[in-house]
Amino acid sequence: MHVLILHASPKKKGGASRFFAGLFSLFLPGTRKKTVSINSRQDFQRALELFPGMDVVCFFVPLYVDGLPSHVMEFLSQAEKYCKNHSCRFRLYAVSNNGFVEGKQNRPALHMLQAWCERAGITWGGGIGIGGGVMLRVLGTVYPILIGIILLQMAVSFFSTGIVPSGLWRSFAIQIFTWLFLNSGVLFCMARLSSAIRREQVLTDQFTRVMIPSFLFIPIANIFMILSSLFQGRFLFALLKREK
Amino acid sequence: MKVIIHDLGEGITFSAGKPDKDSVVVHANNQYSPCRGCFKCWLKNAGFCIMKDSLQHIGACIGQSDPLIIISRCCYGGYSSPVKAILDRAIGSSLPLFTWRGGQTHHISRYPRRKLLRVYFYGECTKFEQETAKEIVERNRLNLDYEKVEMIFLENIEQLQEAGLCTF
Repeated sequence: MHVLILHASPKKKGGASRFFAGLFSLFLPGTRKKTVSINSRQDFQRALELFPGMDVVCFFVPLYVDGLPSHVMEFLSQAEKYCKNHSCRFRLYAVSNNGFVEGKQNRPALHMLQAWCERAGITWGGGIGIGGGVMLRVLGTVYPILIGIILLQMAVSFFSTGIVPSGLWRSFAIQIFTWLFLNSGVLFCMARLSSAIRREQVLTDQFTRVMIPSFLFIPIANIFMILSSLFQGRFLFALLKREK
Repeated sequence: MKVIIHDLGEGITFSAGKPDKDSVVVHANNQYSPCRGCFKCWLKNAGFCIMKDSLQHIGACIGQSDPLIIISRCCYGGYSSPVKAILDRAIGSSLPLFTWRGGQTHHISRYPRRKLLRVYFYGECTKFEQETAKEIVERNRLNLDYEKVEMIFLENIEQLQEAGLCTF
């Protein structure tokens, strides 16, 4: 089975869509995968030329202003023409993520891709909407660092004393389980998506989120934004100004 | 300030309502960059984009627009790419901070609440695409912080002319 993983983050580096594309490729062992980015117009033709040889295309998109980003709209318009003029027989699956906590806010983006399938003559396979995508991407960077530090401490302890203290094992287990818990919805939905792809089935759209209640998500996300602005050399109050 | 965003092409003039010296017409002609997703308009600049082109200050323009009128070809149940690029570049009209609005998380608006968002979609549009477009525009209303939304679907540009909304 030939699978094309397309991710559409406009960012040159990082981006939640790229992170989820990388994570999902782990769910597709034994398939012939190719991962391509379409973060600018220059990438479009290269991606389109891969379409005819594919059985499945998995499209990872970010949600921008309640819908698909403008460069994705441009890509879809070109892709519709391409699919009508070439022999494209793939099924399209999609994973859309947004910065808000509710995965259901991605529903219009998934519906737009479904509408594209109808116009392009492509089979729609279904999709996943992920809420708190930015937070999950940041956690995907923070947790490996934390776990790496603990592993380093374990190694130092083992080589200096010959034993690894139980407290370090406990910390290691807590970090692993916390990451798994926060990502449990995403991992479960990705497993279902992977199963649907392998069985050539249509997946009913699934919606999931970072496993944090909304009343905690808002203050945590706000603190993250304030800290991010400090890294940019700005205090938050300077960012509250209005332009005339 | 009335703001009109349209993708009607150079030879077509949008003409709904009386001409107003405060009106701003933004032609979605793709002569600008799409959003890079860097969030600098939230985290470094107070609401304006780091890319120095015609949309650098579009966040302030949309943040103060009342009514905001959008005329776009309906593409898969959403805005056309040139119109969407304008909206994507305007996220500086809100703050990076989150709040709870309409039962969901949204960004806090940088500007006071405005009254009317009106969207004209033209072009061939299936029922499914119309339903999708309705959901997107209602979400836009919540995110852009408008009290009321009006949506009109037209089959082609000629219908805009027949309705007295534009002249060729």
